[in-house]
Amino acid sequence: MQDKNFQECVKCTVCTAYCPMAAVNPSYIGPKQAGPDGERYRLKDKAFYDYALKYCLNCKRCETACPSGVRIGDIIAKAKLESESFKPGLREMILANTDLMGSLAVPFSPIVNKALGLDISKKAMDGILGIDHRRTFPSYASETFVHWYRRKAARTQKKFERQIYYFHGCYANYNFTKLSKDFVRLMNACGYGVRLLDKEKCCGVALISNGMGKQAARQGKINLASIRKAGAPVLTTSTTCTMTLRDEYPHVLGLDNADVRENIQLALKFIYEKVESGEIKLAFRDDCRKRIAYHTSCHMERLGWWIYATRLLEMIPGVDLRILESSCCGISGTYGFKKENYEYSQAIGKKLFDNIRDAAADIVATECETCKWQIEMSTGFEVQNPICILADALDVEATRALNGVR
Amino acid sequence: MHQKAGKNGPSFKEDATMRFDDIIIGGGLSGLLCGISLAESGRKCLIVSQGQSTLNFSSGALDFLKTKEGESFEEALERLPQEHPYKKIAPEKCFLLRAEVAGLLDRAGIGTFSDIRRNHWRITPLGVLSQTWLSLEEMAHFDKEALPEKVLIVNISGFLDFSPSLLASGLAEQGVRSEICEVSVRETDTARANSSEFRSVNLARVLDGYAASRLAEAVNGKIGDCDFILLPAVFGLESDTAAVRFLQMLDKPAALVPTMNPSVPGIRLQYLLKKRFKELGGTFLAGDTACDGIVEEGKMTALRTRAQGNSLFEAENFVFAGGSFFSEGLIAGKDEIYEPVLGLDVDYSGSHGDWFSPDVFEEQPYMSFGLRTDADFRVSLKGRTLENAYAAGQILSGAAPFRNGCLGGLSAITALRVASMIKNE
Amino acid sequence: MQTAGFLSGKRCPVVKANTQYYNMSVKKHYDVIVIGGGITGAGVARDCALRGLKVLLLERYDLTNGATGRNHGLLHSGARYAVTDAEAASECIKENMILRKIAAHCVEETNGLFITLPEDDLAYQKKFIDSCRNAGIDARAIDPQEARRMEPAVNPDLTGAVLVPDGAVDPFRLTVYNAYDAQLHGADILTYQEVTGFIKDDRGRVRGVTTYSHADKSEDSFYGTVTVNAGGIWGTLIAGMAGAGINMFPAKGSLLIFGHRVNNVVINRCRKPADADILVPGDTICLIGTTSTRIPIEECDNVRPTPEEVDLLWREGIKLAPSLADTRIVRAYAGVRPLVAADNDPSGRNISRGIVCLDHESRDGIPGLITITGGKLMTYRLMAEIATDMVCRKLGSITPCTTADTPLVGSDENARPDKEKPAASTYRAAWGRHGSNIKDIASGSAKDKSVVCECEEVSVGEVSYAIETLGARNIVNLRRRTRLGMGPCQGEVCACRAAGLIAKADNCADKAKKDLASFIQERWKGMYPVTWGATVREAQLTSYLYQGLCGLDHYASESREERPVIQGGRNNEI
Repeated sequence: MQDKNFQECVKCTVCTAYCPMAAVNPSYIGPKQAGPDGERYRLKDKAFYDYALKYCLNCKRCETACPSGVRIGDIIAKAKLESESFKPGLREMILANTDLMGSLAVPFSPIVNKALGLDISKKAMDGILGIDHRRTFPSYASETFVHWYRRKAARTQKKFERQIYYFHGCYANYNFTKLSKDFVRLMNACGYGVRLLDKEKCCGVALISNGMGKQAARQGKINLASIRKAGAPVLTTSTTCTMTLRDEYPHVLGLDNADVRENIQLALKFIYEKVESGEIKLAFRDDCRKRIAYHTSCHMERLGWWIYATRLLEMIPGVDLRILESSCCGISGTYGFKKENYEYSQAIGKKLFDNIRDAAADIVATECETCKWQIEMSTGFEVQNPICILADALDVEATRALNGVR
Repeated sequence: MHQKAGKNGPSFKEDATMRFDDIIIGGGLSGLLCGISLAESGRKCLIVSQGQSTLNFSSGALDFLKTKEGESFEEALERLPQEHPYKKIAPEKCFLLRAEVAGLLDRAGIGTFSDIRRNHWRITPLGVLSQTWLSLEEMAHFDKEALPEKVLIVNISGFLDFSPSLLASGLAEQGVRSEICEVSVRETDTARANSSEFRSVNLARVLDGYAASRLAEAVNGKIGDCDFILLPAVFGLESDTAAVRFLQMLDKPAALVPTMNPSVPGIRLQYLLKKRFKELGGTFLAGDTACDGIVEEGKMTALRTRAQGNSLFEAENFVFAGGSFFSEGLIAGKDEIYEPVLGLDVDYSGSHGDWFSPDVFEEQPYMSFGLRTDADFRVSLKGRTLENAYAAGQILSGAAPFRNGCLGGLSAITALRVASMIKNE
Repeated sequence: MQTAGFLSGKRCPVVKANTQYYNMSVKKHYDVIVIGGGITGAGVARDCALRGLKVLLLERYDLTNGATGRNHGLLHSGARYAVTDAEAASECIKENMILRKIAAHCVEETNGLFITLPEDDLAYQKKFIDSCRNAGIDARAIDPQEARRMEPAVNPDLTGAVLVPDGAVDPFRLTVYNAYDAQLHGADILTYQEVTGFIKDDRGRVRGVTTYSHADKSEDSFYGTVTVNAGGIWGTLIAGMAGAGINMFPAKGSLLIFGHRVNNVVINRCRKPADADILVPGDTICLIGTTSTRIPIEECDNVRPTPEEVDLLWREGIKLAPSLADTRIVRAYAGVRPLVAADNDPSGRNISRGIVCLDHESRDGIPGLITITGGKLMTYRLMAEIATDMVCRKLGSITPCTTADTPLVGSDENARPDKEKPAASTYRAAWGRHGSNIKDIASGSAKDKSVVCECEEVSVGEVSYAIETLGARNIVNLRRRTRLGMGPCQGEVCACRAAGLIAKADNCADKAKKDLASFIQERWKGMYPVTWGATVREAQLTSYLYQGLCGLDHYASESREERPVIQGGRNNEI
C-alpha cells in the first residue's frame, strides 16, 4: 500500500525556505517539488522530477522545518532509489561501500593514507572518478576497532554487571578508532560492559544516497536481526547511523524496525539519562579549561538529541560551551566528495564556517563524522566527538569508584 | 497520526527525565515571546516546536484589534464579546502589555513602529490598507491622512509572489498614483533560473549581500517624479539591518510590502526571537512534537515528545502555545475537535456541518474554536482546571481573529500575560 | 459591438503574431448558432465548422461550466450499461475507440475492472460478460489475484473481476480543444454570453438569438439560419423560450475528488449500476461517484453535495479501494444529468440515457430550432454528428461528417515527449494536457519556465498560452484549461500568482482582484463539505494568507457568483 505521508503537505512552502541546496543551486527544484509535490505526480508517471532528485543533500532540514510532519527527505531518498535514471557508477560504488573500502584499506593504511594525500592521486581521482581534488580524504587507521576490540577489550567486558551493545559504524571502525576506543573506556568507567553485535554491516546511508537500495536493504536486514538478537540497548556514536537505523530503514528501505527502534540510541542520550537517574555518575578532571563550540549537525537536529550532548558537555568543569546556530556544513556524507557538488558544498557551509571562526573556540564539538572532515578541512579548527571530549576530561579512577567498578 | 509515544517501544526502558522551570509547547510568536519573557527573569525554559510556525506567513505586522473611526483601543476592547481572550485582561493591564511587547522586541534587536494608543495602516500585497498596531520598521506603515502622492512600485524581474499591478490598483482606490517598474541585477537573474525556487527567501539571500547596492542604483534610476518607493519584502532575512540599510540607499523614502509566503519579515522576526531566547539560556527544540503528558492531582508534571521517546521533560509550569489547526495545536477530525497532547477541554460547538460557513470570507466558526481557559488562562482537563498549565495565542478559544483583527497581537499579548502569571507565582 | 469571450476584443488581449487563427471580428450572421459550451455544444460547433458551415457558439459562462465539468471523466467502455441498456453500451464502446484515436491527448488508456465483492452476487458476472460481448465490448473475466496485481489498490477481498476497456477522459480538455478546433476551422466562440431569447420572424421561424454578456453587462443579438440548442439540462429552459416543451428530469450526481491517485485502473462494481460504484483515476487525482437524486429544475444552477452524500460516497468508495479510507479528500461537487423523458412518456418513468435530437419544426412547429440532448460525455461526438446531420439537411448541405477520423488539434501527431531526455516537470505535465499543442507553449526563457501552480506543474508559459490561445480570462478559466488550482492546495499557492499574471495581461487589476476573491470562494465551496484533518489546516492557511495577509475580503462583496439572467425564460419575437 502507498505510504501516504506526502498528503499531509499543505503546500505552505516552509520547507523551501530552509533547504540549504535550493538556496545555492538554481538547478535544484527544492524539497517541496522534489518531495511531496513530486510524489503525487510520480503516482501518475515515475519519470517526474527524476532529473532533480540527485541534488538533494538528505540533510533533512526540510523535515525539521515542516509543520505538517511530512518526511520530505525520506520521500526524496525513496524516489531516488526507485528512479530509473539514477544509476550508480564506479565512483558511487567506491564512495558508498564504506565497509568494503575500509576493510581493503586498513591493512595497508600507511600506504593508502599517503597515496590518498598525494596530489597526483587526487588529480587522478578527480579526472577518472569525479571525486573533487580539493577534498581531503579521511585517513585510515592502522588497525580496525573491531580487531583491537577482539584483541584487547573483549575479554574484560563480560565482567561488567550491566551490558550494552555498540553499533560502531564504519568511521569509528576504519578511520577514527579513537572514538570507538574512547567510547569503550567511558562506558567501562561507568560500569557498563560494551559488546559488539553478532554481525554489524554498514548502516547503508551512503548506499541509499548513491542509489544502491537493494544492497542497503540486505545489510539493513542483517543489522536488524543482530539488534533483535541483542535484546539490550544498542548504542551508537554516529548520528547518521542512528538516524538511518531508526528512521530510514522503515521509511526509505521499507524495513520494519518498530520492535527495536527504541533500543537504538545515541550513546550520549543514554549516558545523560543514566546520569540524570543516578545510575551513572561522572567525575571529571578539573584541568579542562576549554571553549567548545558545539555544532548541531543536520541529522542531530533532526533527531532532536543535541540537548543531551550539550548538557553532558556542560557538566565538564571549566568548559565554556557555545552552541552554534544549527546550519548545514554542506558535505552531507559522500555528497560533497563528488566533483560536481564541491562548489555547492562549500557555499552551503560558508555560514557555519563563519560562525565557527567568530566563536573563536578552542575546539569544535559535533557527533557527525563527515561534518568533522568538512569543518576541519574548511576552517582548520579541530573537531571532536563529544564522546571523545567527555572521555578525555573524565577522571577515570574517580568515575570507576563512583560507579562501583573494581 | 497522533500516536501516543508511550505506547511505542520496548518495555525494558524506564522513563528518564530532563528538568526545566517552564516548558512551552509551540515555537511560534506566542511561544517565543512567552519564553523570552520568562527567560529574561532568569527562568530555565524549554520550547518544543513542531516545525515552523505561522510567522512564516506573517505580514510583518501584528494586528492588535480593529477599531472604528475615532475609537480608542479601550472602547474597542469594551465592545468585544465576553468569550474573547482579551476580556480576561483588564484594559489597563492590556495597555501595559502592549508596551511590554514593543520593549521585548526592541531588546531582541527588532526595530518596530507602533503607537500604544491607536492603530496605523499597513499595506497588503493587494494594496488594501489594513489596520494594524505594530509594524516591523522596514514594512510600509502609514497614517491614512498622510499617504504619499505618487509611488514607485518596484518588483524584481520574474518574482511571481508579488504583483505590482494588484498593489497599484489597491493604492489607486486610496487616490495614490503609482508607477510600476521591474529591476534585476546579475544575482537575481541567476537565482531566477530556478523555475520553482525563485521565492522571497532565496531572493533575500541574494539581496542581503553585495547585490543590494547595485539594485538600489537600478531603483534610483527609475524614481522620476515619485515621492515614495514600495518594494516587495525580500530584504533582511537574518540580519536585522540589511532591510533598513537597503532602504537607506534609495533616494526617496521607501518601505517594503509583504509578499506571498514564505514571509521574509516573519522569518526574520522568528529568527531574532529565537536567537534572543537562546542567548537568554533557553532551550529551543525544533522539529519535535509534544505527544503526551502526565497529570497528577490537578497539575501537569511532565511532557513526552515524539523524538525523545522514554525521556520526559519535567517542569513547574507548562504553556500550551501550539497555535490553531494549521500548527496542530488543535486537531479537527470528522466528528470532533481535540487538543492532541493531553486531550484538554476544547470550546467548540455543533457537528461538522456547523463548523464552517459557506462564505469563505465570513468569520469561520472553526477559527474561534480553541482551548477553554479560566480567567488566568489556565487550561482544564475533563472540567478540572490544571493549576500550572496555561494557554496562549491562537490556541485560545473565542478570538474570531479576522473579524476582530487580532491576528498576531492576540498571540503577543496573551503570551506575555501568561508569562506574567507564571512569574508572579 | 460589445462581445466577450474566447475571441473577444473587449478583454484587450495581447494577440500574438503567430496566432493567425484569431478571428477578431465577430460576425452577426451565421449558418448555425450553437447554444451551450458544454461538450455537446463544442462538439456540434466543431462538426459544423469541419463541414464548412459558418458557426457561432454561445456559452452563458465558461466552457464546461455545466454537467460537462461535473462528472467522472470516465471513458466508458459501455460495460456499465451493457446489462441495462444495450444500445447505450454499444454506442459507448464505438465512441470509446474513436476517442482514443481522435482525442489521444484528452484520454488516458487505463483499462477498467468490474469487481465482485463478497456482498455481491457472483452470478451477475456471467450475465454481465455476456451482455458486454453482445454489445461488442471486450470483457474478460480475470482471476482476482491477477486483478490485485494489475491494480494493487483494489479491495483485496474481491471474489471476481472482469477486465474492460474503460479509460479516463479529461472533459475540460476535450471540450476546450473541440472549441479551439472549431475556431481553427472558422467558428466563433463566445463565452459569458447568455442567450436571453429567440428572434423569430413573423412566420414563427427562429432567426437568431438575443444575448446578455456577463462580461460587459451588455445586450446583443446574433442571427443564424439554424439554431442548435445544446444547453444540457438548461436546454429545457432554452427550448421553453422558443415555446417548445421538453420533459427533462434533472438528476443530481455528487462526486468526491481525492488528492492523489490511489488507483491507475478504473474500478467499478460488477452489479446493477448503483451509487458510488466507479473510482476513476483522472490525471493526478482520482474521483469516486456518483449519487443520483431527482431535483427540481430551479435548483440546477445551485447544486451541492449533501453531508449524507459525502458520507455515502466515502463509505462506498472504501469498498472499491480500501486505501481511500485515509486518503485526503480535496473536494466534493455535484452536477446535473440532462435526462430526457421520451415524448410519449410524460411521467418520466421511461427515461433513457440515449441521445435525443428534436426537430422543433416537425415536433412543435418552430422552424429553425433543433435541440440535441440526453446522451452523455462519451457519446458527445455521435450527438454532434446527429445534430449536425440534421442541421445540414435543413441547410441543404450534403457534406459528410468527418469527426470520427479527424483528430482534434493536439492529438494530430503521435510525437510523445522524449522519455529519455530529462524534461522539466512543467513540460512533461503540459504535454499530458495539451498534446502536440505544446509547440505553442513558450518554454525558452526563465520567465516562461517559472512555475505558477506547483501542485499541477503549470508554468508561466502555459498560463500565457491559456490566456492568449485558449481564451482564458479569469482564474476559473485558467483552472479548466490548465489544471491550475486543481491540486491538493486548491489554489492557495498559485491563485495570487495567477491573478497577478492576468492583471498584467489584461492591464486590468481591479477585475483580477475581484476574480481572485471569487476564485477563492469557488474553491471553498467544494472544500468545506469535506474539510477535516489536513484539509482544515489547508483551509486555515488559505485564510491566513488571503484574508489575513492580503485583505482579500475587501473585494469579497464584489465577487458575486455567476448568476444567470434567465431563470424562467422569456421570448423575444419580432
